[in-house]
Amino acid sequence: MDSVIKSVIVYFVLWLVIRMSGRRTLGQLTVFDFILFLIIGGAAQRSLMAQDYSLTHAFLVIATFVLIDIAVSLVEGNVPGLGKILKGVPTIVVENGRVLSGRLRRARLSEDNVLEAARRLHGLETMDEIKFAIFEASGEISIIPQPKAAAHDELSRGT
Amino acid sequence: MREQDSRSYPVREDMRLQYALWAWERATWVALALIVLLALSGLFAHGPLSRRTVKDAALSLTYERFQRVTSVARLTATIAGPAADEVSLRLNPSFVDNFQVGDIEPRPSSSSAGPFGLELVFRAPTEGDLAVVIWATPRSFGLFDLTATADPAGQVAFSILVYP
Repeated sequence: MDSVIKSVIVYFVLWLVIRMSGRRTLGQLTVFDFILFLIIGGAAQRSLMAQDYSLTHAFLVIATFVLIDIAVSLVEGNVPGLGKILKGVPTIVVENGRVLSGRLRRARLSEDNVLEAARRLHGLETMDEIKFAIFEASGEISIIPQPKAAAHDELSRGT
Repeated sequence: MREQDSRSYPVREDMRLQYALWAWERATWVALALIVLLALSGLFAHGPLSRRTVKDAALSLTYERFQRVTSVARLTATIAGPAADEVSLRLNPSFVDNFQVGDIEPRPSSSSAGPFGLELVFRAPTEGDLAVVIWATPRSFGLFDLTATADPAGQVAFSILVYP
């Protein structure tokens, strides 16, 4: 019984901490973030397993985690309001070349992050060439180039 | 259009929710910082807030009032200048039920457990106070009301809160 209760608590505590650490962490996982997540996983695993390393206990913990994850994904998909809270919502951070700096600051992003995504995804050089930059719920930055820049992008890809 | 307003193209935004989520995010950071500060102070065991000493007659007991399950903690009982050859320290049944004794220094000359709890008998030192260190690990979580009794004199009641 305690392994199921512990798993449920650990799942939601981990979810809350990771979710509340900001989407930024999810989209741009650095080597250090990766190590940090390994340590978090290790700490959670030790508290979950305690001194019981039996196969039954491991199976109970895994089954509970997978079940909660399925339940959360079902809630996300079927309850729109709750889904938005659980997953987050996309946010436009650049609109027609204009940086929405308040949003950028709150999302803990910088103009450099946006320009980096623009360069990486479309080979864009300046903010003016970006029609929309969207901070997605997954933590990634999507870039929609200005039509002129898009045409140029197509051209350069073609050659 | 203001920055706070929700756009519907190219994605459907919900800026009211987004601002609420950002505010919630900040509140969680404050909560996490508070947890870390409280942990440093010893509220979650092993720190200044956790260490406590209780005294009665010849017996003085220093213990961790906040402990964590499966984490070993130290309990020091000092019995002032015993006159007799032997000194005994008795811990009530709740201690035996909920704590696993790992090590006792100095080694007792005899020990017994029964409905009265755990009784440890030590040879009295040739001079000075007898200091007994007990390393014990909580087996379960909860609030435990415990008592320690020294023979010839002294009885203290103390509580330990064990976190899961």
